[in-house]
Amino acid sequence: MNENEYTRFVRLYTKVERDLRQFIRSLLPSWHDADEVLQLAALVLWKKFDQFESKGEDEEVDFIRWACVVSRFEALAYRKKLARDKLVFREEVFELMALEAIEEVDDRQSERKALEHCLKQLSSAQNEFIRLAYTPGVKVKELALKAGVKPEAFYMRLNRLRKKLQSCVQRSVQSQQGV
Amino acid sequence: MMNRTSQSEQQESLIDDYINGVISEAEFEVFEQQLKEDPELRARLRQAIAIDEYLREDFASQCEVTATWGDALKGNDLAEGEHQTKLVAEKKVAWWPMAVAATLAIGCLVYGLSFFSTTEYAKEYAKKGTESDVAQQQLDGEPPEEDSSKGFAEGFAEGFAVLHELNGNHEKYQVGKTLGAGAFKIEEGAAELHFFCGARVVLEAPAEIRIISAWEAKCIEGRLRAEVPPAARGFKLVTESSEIIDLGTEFALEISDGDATVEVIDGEVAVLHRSELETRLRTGEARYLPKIGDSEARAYSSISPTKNFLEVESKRKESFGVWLRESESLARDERLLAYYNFQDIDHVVPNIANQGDEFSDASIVMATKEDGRWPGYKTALDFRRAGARARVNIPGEFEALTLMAWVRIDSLDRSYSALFMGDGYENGEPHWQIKEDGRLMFSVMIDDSRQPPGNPLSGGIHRVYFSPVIWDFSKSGEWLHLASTYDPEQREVRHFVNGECVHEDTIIDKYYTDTLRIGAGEIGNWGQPFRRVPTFAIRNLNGRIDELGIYGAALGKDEVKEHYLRTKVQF
Repeated sequence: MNENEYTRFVRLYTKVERDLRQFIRSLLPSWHDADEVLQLAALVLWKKFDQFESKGEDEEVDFIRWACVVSRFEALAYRKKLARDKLVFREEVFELMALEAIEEVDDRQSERKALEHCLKQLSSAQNEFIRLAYTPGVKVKELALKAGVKPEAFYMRLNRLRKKLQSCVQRSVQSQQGV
Repeated sequence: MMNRTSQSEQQESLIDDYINGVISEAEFEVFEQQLKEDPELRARLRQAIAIDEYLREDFASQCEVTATWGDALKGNDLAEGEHQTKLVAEKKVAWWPMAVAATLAIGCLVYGLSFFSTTEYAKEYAKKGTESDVAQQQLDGEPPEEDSSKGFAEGFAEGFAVLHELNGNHEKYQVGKTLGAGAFKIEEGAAELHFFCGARVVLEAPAEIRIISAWEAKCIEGRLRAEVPPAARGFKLVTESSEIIDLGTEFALEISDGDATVEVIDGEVAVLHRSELETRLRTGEARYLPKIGDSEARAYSSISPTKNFLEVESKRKESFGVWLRESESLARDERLLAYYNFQDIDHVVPNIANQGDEFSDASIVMATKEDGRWPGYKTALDFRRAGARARVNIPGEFEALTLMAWVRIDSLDRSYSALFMGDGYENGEPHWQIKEDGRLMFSVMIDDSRQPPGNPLSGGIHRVYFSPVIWDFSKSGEWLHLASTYDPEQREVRHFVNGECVHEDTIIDKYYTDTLRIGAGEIGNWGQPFRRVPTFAIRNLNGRIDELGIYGAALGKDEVKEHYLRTKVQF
């Protein structure tokens, strides 16, 4: 494979990595699992990159769809390795989620833009809270302990803020589509 | 059969639990079954995951700042020199190094978040309170069951340190105040902060720091000294160009225009200056850390500020004396049914109102004697234990009522926190309390023989008059002057905070009474709840009261203001 192929792959992969990560996460029980699979999938994608063909006008859209299909197999294999007692979707649900997620994958870009806008609408205290909750390596239990509250209360607030963001994102995506 | 709303709520909570990784096996089984049958639920789950991912990635890629949060909150020992790399490794989720680099770079450019500011926060709260007020007041009394987390005072995570001591004239700060993320600045005198990690920092004015977490602060200007006990090892101060991590005991820092000097009074610190390798400083060593350029060793010159708080002590004593004289003069007000100034507490809190009698002394049950507004001089009762209360008996009937108190709320962890409550909540008896969302409540029972329609568990026909939100976590530990007046003649109910009227309401016919009674009642708790559900029945105040006046008349706005000014802490 020549140097151009390499550059092209990196460009495409960089663009879709986060969508791909979300896709895998929707099939597996945790971000940790999703990240494991993402690493494996990235390697497979590179190995099979010569099989990728862009048929349509949008190479990126074709690439993410192809990447999702490849990753789905990786996720499926990984899922089987997870212990049975883990909270893993049974194959039926797994497949439904995968099929539908591939269909939706184009929507995610506009959602991300909307979220940036929605985050700005939160108060600075709310923003700070989210930032705190999403600090890498932070354990909610420890964080709640430090703040002197019950983890349940912490989650409750986090859930509320996320919901707020989610409905804001939904609203703004819908209004964009309406125009 | 579940109705639509509760099913959708239940689904929302399953999604949340699944995403937060706290779903139980039984719940997961239900969730999976519903996912199988419901395409809409699947779509909602995917969207929730997407939001979660955006937040994770966007905030995770705030490189520097977030990495230090991680350290700080984990309380790990940086001396091991390992987990900084570990943290970075955690972030490198993808195998493709270039891709990772690109993602991080994008994230860093997009988000420059401002730090939280207390005043903005308070404004936001005041607004929220007013909006929800109207709806709440339509309610006949207290709602029967409520999600105990609903009104949870937001912003709790912002408490990172407490202002332990303060010298000088500072309008903005009060000793005992909880400080959140954000700037702390003094123009004169000195201050001692106790970080929640256990570190103690003394600042000498003019000084400015920015509190980042319970484990970290950024130093902008001034001199300071940090005492770090073993439990707080890893406490970190950052400057423009450096990070100073305490590995035990005590160090001093002086900073001016971004150039810093650090010296170790006792123990050891790790210093990271710009891109230099980590330097360790031991007792008696000092180092210059300029904003630009390399660090240099310096001779130890005792830059540490001295703990100069003796002066505060004498001022405090004087100020307490002023209050004591005012208090004795206020006790002569003939409208007082009872006046407790919480001095000379011994099993009872004496009613010192000249018109009062010994029968209305308050008997202390489980409440503990603690420092009041003038630590070391003024006493208060603390009601944080679940059964804590002070019982009173105030006979008679009155045509109006004023309840006025100095209250320190540490936390609102009950659905309702009692200030002063009539025992049985029978006709004419008042309830004065604070809801968990920070709103002051005043109510009088109008007719305990009838139940309001739609609320069969209520004690009878009554109306709760809510103030806007007057408390959030930023006020934890702060002494507030609270008052509520009930004036049937003028048909007015008012709430006051620190002498200012924050809410006025009209008494309508349906909720009118001009015959008020107290009889048996309690300070800081509720004696005879008519429902036994803990969220309803347990109402002890997590905080302190150090002055309470109960008047058989409605005080005017000016009078409340005057009372506040005459009894507040003045330095």
